[in-house]
Amino acid sequence: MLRYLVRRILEMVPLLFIISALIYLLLYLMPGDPLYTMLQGVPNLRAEDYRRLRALYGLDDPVYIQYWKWLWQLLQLNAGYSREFGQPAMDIILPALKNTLVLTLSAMVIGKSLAVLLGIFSAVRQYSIGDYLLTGLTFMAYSVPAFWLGLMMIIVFAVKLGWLPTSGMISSDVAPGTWTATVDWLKHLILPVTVLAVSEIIQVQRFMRSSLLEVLRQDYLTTARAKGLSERIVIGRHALKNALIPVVTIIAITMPRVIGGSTVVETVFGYPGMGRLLYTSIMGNDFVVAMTVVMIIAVIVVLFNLLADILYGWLDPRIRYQG
Amino acid sequence: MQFAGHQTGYWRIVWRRFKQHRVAYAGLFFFLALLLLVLAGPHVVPYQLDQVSLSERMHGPSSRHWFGTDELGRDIWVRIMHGGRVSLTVGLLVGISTVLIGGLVGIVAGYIGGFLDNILMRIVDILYTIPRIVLLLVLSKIAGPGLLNIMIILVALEWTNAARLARGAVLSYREQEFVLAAQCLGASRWRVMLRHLLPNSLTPLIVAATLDAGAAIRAETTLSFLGLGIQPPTPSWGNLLTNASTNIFIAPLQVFLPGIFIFFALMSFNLLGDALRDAMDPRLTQVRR
Repeated sequence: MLRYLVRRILEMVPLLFIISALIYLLLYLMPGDPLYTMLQGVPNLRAEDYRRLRALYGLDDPVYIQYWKWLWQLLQLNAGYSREFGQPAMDIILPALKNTLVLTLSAMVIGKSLAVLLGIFSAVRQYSIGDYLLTGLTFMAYSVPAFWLGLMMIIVFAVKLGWLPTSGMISSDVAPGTWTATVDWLKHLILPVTVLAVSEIIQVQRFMRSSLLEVLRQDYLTTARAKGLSERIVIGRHALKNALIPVVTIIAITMPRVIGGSTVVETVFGYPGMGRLLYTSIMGNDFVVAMTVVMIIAVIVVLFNLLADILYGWLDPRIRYQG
Repeated sequence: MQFAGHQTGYWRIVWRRFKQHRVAYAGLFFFLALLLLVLAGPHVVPYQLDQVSLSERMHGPSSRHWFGTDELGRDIWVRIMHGGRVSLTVGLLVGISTVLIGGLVGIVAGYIGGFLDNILMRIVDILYTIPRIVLLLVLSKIAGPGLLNIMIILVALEWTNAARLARGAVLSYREQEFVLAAQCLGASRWRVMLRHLLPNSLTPLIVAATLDAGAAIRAETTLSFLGLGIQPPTPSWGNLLTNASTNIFIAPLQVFLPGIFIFFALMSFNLLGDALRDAMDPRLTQVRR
């Protein structure tokens, strides 16, 4: 197991390296002058000053030199300086990362546990009206575009009913650190978390359903029933344990998609997270921020894929990894 | 063509199983209804796509303007139908192209194997590891807006699905007798791949095409909504929503309408894909035959 782990972690290094080079090249190819925002406030700048600035920031170097310099700095945990915000990139990214993790993890926990419960219900009541209804509902939820669902929720819950705020993360008129502030913060989270959770239900619900149905057909459950155990214990204790194994893996694998989905949701709700930062930095040619955000997302994705593999082997003793 | 009888037999079974599937009918119905609507829709009302009418700005639905008018007095019904033509075109063309390209790549990788297979599958891995939205945003910024550019980007990102499925199918057929027989009879590599392996891999590929078409519509509308896809004045369901969302407080109906069309489009492709997967599963066919 340890050898397997070490090998997998070593495999991640070239993958991340290739991804970083690829994204760096793509961002380099994006149209737009990276110095543009910086120069807007300086009307009497001469052409030679502009050239000096380009040389200073190494923007005239060939792309591979720029990439090496960037990579070397990043390995020393220096992500660079955002010319758009006039701050070190990390000072902008870290709070956004925290906000995004709060959003995505809440959506994951709520969406996936609901999906697991619904999947169990569908499997136990296979071919019942409830099963069909749930399958239909989750299918519809999956087909709803997230940005539209977000807008509709804003219309219903914020504009018409006035229960929840339309966007952002904190209201300006609430003193920080108080109980009201916490409630206010939770109110801001409800809509984005719901939208993000809704589209993630179907996959896990279906997987849970088919996984449990498969287990329910096996002989050891007939044995359990023959021993006179109640259906509750047969399903809750004996069947679920095995049925959950592949589901846990699927949940870990879908984490990257939730983070990707948060880009759209955060943009719709004006939530100050990493997804929105990704969007604004790409739109605004903020190269340094965009590159770092992409790399953080890539690391999270790779780590969760590894986590999925490890969980699978750890939960299912029938699987053994070879170093 | 001595196998023709067998082949029609299979497709007849698929069609019969497809007909029995009520869900499939619903998907097909939604799709055909949408297609008819966006094709005929603009012709049944006397307004042009960009016909501005400053005396009729922001009107609600009426007998003159069924869906109302936008901030320039343009008829929203006409704009949504035209937007639907754009979004459905993207879906259909991207769905077909991803399967043609991905299918070919997958079959070649699976049959020839070795170094080529390794390289292609590593590319697929890398494309899977980078979240789709990152590549969509960056590539559409590089390529610039426009219908053709969007479609090229979507094909470039979504061929991986079909490639994996085709490769998997080919790997399971590669060692079977009919391939060996073809090789012994002197069939060339390309003949084996196109004449023997391709028809046998069609099942997963057709399902992939349907689901990819839905994914393409989702991606196009998302990008257009974010301002990177189809640009106004050309309408798409996505950019109609962006435009309407600026008036979300005064005219919520204008936000509702384009979205419900996207919803039905995605729903129809997902339902069709699901039903086709069930109908074409040979294991199920054998059980019920």
